[in-house]
Amino acid sequence: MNEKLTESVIKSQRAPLLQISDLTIDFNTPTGWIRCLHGVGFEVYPGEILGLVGESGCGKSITSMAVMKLLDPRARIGGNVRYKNQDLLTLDENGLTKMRGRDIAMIFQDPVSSLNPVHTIGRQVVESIIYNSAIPFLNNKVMGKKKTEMVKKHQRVTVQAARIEAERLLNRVGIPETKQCLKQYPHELSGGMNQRVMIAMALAGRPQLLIADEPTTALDVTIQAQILELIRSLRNEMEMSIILITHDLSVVAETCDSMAVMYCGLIIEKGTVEGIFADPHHPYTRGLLASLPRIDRQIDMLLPVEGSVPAPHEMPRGCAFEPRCNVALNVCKIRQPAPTTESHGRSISCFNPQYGGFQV
Amino acid sequence: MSIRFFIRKIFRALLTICLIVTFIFVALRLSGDSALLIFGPDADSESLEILREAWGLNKPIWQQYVIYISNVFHGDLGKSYLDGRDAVEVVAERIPKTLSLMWVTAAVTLLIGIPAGIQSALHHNTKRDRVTMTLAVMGLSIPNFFLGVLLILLFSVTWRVLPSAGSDSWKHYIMPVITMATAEAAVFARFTRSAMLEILNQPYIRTAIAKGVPWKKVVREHALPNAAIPIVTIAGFFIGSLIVGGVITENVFAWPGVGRLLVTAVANRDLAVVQVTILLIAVSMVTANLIVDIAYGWLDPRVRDLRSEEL
Repeated sequence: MNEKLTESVIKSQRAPLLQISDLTIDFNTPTGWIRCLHGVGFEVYPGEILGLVGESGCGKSITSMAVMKLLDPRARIGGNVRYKNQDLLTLDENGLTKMRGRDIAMIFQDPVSSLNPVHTIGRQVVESIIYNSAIPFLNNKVMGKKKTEMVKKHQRVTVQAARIEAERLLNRVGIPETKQCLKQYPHELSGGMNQRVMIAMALAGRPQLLIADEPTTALDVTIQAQILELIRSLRNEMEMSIILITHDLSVVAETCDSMAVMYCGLIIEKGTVEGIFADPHHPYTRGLLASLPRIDRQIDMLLPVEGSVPAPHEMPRGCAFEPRCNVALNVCKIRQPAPTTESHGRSISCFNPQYGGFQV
Repeated sequence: MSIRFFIRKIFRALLTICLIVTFIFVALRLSGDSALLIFGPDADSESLEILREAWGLNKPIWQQYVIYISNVFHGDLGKSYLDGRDAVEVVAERIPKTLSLMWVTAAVTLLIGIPAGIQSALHHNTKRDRVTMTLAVMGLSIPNFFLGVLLILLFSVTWRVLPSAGSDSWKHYIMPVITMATAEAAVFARFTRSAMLEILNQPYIRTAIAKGVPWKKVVREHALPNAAIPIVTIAGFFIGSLIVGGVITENVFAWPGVGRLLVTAVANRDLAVVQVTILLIAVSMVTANLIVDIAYGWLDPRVRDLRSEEL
């Protein structure tokens, strides 16, 4: 608790590491452009773990993919993504390659299929180190014919150094037999082990921001807890910020400092984890929390959020949640609510936010 | 890869060859009385009897089979009915010509088909992709014999720039190779494209990009080794269609290879030569597939493990 509170105090004094504002994404479909993100904005502060929560299809993954520019090149991205005052959306291919892995790294949902099946773990981790680490590598362009021999020697040395570094990284993420593991292929390891390898690869460039896109969804519960614990301890040790994308509120409660709740391509509520869990203001967040089983309270029945998410091409004109909302006003049908900022970085997009008295 | 995997594969290949040898025996006996076929319906019964005696055709069928099998394993596959030379020798002297045509065709096919497919996939849904794929469909749709004759008509008859028959100079290679490689390259281009497209959508490609590997290296080191797995699988079929295509093309261009020999031997009812040719084709197909199988396990570590578990 204390750790989290001090985080939020520090937060107000420091400049954000990543600042996303007004992010929109459109996809081209046979029936025309469809907007999937409607102006998402949030900040990630140094050393913070931000939980990005929402149902599947709400746009959490494509938000993170847009930050890394991993989306299909035909998708149209608008708005601003600033990393340390550098606009990521205007970076050219070269700048992106340098940024990826070195400034921002990413791990994915299904670790087994996220690793190349025909390369050994060692080769894949070493590759990540070679492209991202501070170990000096000679650029191919510098290679003159006379120097080739020297360069070859140099590369052998650096590949050896990268191997040692790879072993150290695998050791750090809790893989017991590192030497053995380097020689193995992804299909020979369990899902949890593969996710550890993914994390080791992500750490190779000592990134300041790690985006974890549902890192534990494909793993079983005990492994899930271990991986989350690993991610938390790495944050403390390496002082990096983490965006944790998940649909699991209990993961957020355990792991994150702050959270942003997404619904239909918009962030509808954000703030500190304690703040939102203690007193959710947006009716959707309230509904989500009410549908959670609680260990500290006696609940007779879990309350689901009624209705379903509208499809991207039939979004209502007003608030996207209005059709499912039980405290909707007339204005909700007509206009989209703009985010309002409150104290402690809390912000809500709602015409009729609810205060206090959150009891299931 | 385990030694047992190899042994098992080789054993299976040998078994297939044994079955083919038997099949050839049965097929040739079913095609009628060989003596009658050679001498024709007007032959007198005395000559027929002499011939049957000489070729062992008057023995019971099972005895003929045993003799045949033991001869095959001694490398004795009979003599050409036409000039009395060893059938194996007759076929063997044609092999280099056929092989040289096949090598060139295979090289041209792979050098055009695979890069075209890769480029198409990398520029998916662009003009370049559509043009390549339209050409591929056209190439695929032209039958070998038609393309060959068309080329002869244009380059030999109308413009008189290329020789229409024979195998003496590099000029003789041009038209047969184009004839055979067009359809093959088209198949490879289409197949490579779809294999690459599937691989490029895999999560590990996204991982490679996300860890800061430059795009060219992502293609070369992550996409291509994975796309090679399905491409190698069709290489087995490729050898087969090269042989079949070779028979037609060699005849169109009077190429003195095994394919042309096969057609003349069939026309002349030279059974021993037909038998050796078919056996040769069968053995090369089986060998090609054996190599593909081994290459497959070598390229894909998952298959390697799967196969050693299976044993």
